[in-house]
Amino acid sequence: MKRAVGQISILIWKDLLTEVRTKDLFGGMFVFAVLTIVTFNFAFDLTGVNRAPSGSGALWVAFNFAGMLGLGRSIALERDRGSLDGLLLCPVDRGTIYLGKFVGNFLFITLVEVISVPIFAALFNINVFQLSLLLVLLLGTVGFAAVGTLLAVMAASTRSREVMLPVLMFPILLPVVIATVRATTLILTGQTADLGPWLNLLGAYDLLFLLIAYVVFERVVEE
Amino acid sequence: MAINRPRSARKSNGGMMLGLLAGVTLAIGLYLGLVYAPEDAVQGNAQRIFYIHVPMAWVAFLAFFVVFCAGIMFLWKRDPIWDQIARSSAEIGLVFTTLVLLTGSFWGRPIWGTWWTWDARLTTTLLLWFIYLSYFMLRAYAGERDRAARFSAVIGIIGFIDVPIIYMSVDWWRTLHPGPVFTSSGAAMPNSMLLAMLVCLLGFTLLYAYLMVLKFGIEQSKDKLLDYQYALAEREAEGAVTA
Amino acid sequence: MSNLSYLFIAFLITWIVIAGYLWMLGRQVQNLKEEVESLTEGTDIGADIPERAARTELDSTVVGGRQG
Repeated sequence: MKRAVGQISILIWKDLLTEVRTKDLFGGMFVFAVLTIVTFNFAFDLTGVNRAPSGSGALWVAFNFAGMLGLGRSIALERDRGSLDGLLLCPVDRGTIYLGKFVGNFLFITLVEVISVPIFAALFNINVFQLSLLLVLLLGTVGFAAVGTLLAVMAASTRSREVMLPVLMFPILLPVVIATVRATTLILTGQTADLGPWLNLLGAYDLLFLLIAYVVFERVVEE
Repeated sequence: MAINRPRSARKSNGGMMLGLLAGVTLAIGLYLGLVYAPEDAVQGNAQRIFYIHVPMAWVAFLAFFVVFCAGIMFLWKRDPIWDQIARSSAEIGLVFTTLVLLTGSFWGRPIWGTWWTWDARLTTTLLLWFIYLSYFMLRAYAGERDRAARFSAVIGIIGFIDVPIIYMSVDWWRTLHPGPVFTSSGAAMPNSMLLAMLVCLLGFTLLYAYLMVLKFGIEQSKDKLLDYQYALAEREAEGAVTA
Repeated sequence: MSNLSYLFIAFLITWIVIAGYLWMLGRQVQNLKEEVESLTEGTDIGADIPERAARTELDSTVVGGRQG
């Protein structure tokens, strides 16, 4: 158990270090997310009194798209550089590799969110600094990263990987999208009474799919 | 060389019997649904679409359940037979899901006045359709056989577990944020309608079983053919080398 | 369109699709038969088929054809 944690930390550290040196992912993801939010301002009316519901939708669409971009690229880079194969040669439990990748992806997406949300708040004059929102962001991103990491590794082994990843992810992640957008809307409009079910849904989803992905990952990467 | 002809002939006869049984049951069920059962007081004759719509929805989800189980078995046991079962059931499931969506629209239009509505059941069925589609897209783009089988098994497993969660989330989305409300007639179904529905349910399940027998046989033969082709090619290559 | 027309069209589509699908499956069986024929022509591989094959209509027919 302790060894697994140690291995996971090394994996995460390797990904972070790679990113800091190459700056391949984060910059693109961040710019993409903010641009999407800005574009939404023109697609929907995000300046009116009812901007909270549309705004939370815009926010999460931006995170989803940026997240998929990041996931796709990160796995593709790993494959093309051969680092995934190198990783698989190490005597590490496959499930542990999955967890390492999952946490790494989770951190990247969270970083993008942490910086995008204040910008969103400033652009649209919405108060976002509430603890419950942080919780929703956390739970949503965990679910997104858990499923996304698994599906991205699969998609990367296919012919049309940029198309394959969204096609796989969107149906599976629908509950997360619905739950996060609804929860965010409730928080932004101050109706936190109904928040419970959505948080429960997200929590259950996260646990369930983390477990499934952890178990199944080995069969996905074997060749 | 002794032929297993009696055994295989019996198997194919069994398959045909199943098909016949399915056809007869469906015929009876449709008679019951279209003629015997009374016309619905509220919805008129369009309500009779239910007698094919509901059983086909049942089959669509049953087929997906089979894909789920076969996927687990394949990942666990690695025997190709499970993948043959999985992809056969997935194809049949896709066909029936498509029909469910179409018949649902033709039921909805006269009753609700709209071809589509985002209620939990229809939306979940639409998502099921997309998951089935992604199943086959993944198979098509995965390249080699084993990878396609492994990957699609994973999607089958994840997708099946996700379906009830999708249903719940869409349902809550609708109830906590109410849209137009469409309720089917709350009154209990008279016995004649129930009978028609059950017989049609049985008929379509038998039809699913028959289609599975057919399709599974095809997929199994396809795999064997590919194996033999590879073996032939290898044999030729060896012959060329040693010659 | 009256209620009956919707009913009729729904049923029509259903049966056309199911019949079409059954026909497609029949075609696949036919194509497979032909492929096995062309493959096992002039070789002795076909004789192996009944041993290892599943009990499918295809296999029995092919073997029956060769032996007959």
